[in-house]
Amino acid sequence: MNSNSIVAVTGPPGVGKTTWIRQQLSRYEKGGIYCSPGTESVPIDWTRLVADFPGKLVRLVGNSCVGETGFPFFIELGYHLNLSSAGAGLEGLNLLRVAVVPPQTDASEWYTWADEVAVGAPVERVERPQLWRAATTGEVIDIESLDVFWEELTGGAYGRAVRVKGIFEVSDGRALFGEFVAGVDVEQFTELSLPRWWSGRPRRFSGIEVFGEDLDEAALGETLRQCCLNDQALAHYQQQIKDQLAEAEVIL
Amino acid sequence: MKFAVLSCIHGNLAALEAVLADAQAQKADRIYCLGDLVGYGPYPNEVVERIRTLEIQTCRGCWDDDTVEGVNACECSYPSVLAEQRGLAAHLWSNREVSDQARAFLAGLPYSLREGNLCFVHGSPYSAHEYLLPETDAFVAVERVLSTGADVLFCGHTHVPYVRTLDATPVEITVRGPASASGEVRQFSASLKRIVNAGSVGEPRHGRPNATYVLYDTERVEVDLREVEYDWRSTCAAIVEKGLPAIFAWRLARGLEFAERAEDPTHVCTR
Repeated sequence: MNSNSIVAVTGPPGVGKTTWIRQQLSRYEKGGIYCSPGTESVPIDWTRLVADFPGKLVRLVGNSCVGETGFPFFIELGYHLNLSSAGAGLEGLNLLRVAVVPPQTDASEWYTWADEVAVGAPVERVERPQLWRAATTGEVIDIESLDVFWEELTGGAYGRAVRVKGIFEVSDGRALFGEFVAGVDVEQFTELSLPRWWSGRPRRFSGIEVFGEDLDEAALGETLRQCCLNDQALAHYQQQIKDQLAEAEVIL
Repeated sequence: MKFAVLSCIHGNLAALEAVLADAQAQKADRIYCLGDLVGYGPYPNEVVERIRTLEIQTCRGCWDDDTVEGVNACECSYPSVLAEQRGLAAHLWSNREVSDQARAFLAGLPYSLREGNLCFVHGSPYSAHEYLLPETDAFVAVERVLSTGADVLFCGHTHVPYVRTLDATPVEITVRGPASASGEVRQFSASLKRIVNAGSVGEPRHGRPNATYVLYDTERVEVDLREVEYDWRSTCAAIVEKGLPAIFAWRLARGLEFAERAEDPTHVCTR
């Protein structure tokens, strides 16, 4: 793969498409370009990549994924896209198609589309796939409530969740990346390398994506809403943090 | 004498019936109830009526208190914003559902009961809202038992059953008052004390949906922590049918309390 390559990556949710792209990106000093069609309103992976590669060129190019030269260009194709048409318009370009698939998968079916097949995480199959997304930008979540919600969500309280990912602004100013893949051991929450937001409602993206089946979308949305801090509580927490920081400065 | 001690029924009639049957099978001579007859569960009136008609000696729990007096606790009583909203939703539902007759019964319940060297309370001798956990500071635990004058303190409220033996140890306290501003040191030895937590009949928090209660043999001074299976699915179905938050059913089926205790369990809201 050279720096002018356009790489289209697909595979089932949770298998590790973004992880594979991150590994590739880390090899390029100048970074690269990333886009994931259909996720523009809830750009979880893009937000995380930007945080993971500070100062590197990792850009979403509008909604149309128009390429630039001189950088590797990664296109992440979600399960919901029709692969036969997903590469339309890219004919004639130096396009590399990569499928990331679970172990023990019959790779032959993927080779009808893919140039390369990489083995990812052993994700579970879903008969009636359902995807629920919600942007929570501007909302700050009570971290204890997030723990309860996460336990219930991943435990099946709102339907069978197979893959969950999200970015959550929490009361101490951190932005957390939350991740769950059924049957796979992944770190639940990691802090994103973003400045802590201690003043007012965060003006940066946060949101959640749940893939599974029989999801109770109304209950998911309502419970997530109940986890959010109101203005008064948020102001209280942020003032506490400011007071603690001021106190620490005095001691120093 | 063999006493059955049960607590935290929370409107779960099926669980109560199963525990009553088990207590009878175990030949319990008398039953004591540590309160929280209502709250979260779908059958508050039926549970109150069963306790009332069986004339079970009962003390008042925190939910009984709030049902009679109205909720008078700030957000400090809940471990999270989500738990607070769920708790308040359950209170609203209970306030609509609980009959005047049941409310009057709850209002007449005492905060503690005595039987010889045994004392029965919901949370602690000081408050139905205070948690006595297995890891509560030993001095605090001894002090709570000593304050009752009893040797064995039965409590509930945590929803997890346990027995804690507080060995006879020397206790040193400093008394400060107008006559001794510098503090007068007194030493005494507390005799063997026990705290017995009865767990929860209707809303267990030990990872299984089964009801828990205790049997206490006064002659042998033995505690038997009982876990009783019952048709928890019927309670889960009734939770949904009666308009309580469906998540309560999901949590009951897994032995997870509906809204867990406050982050600081010894904190009692005094608002």
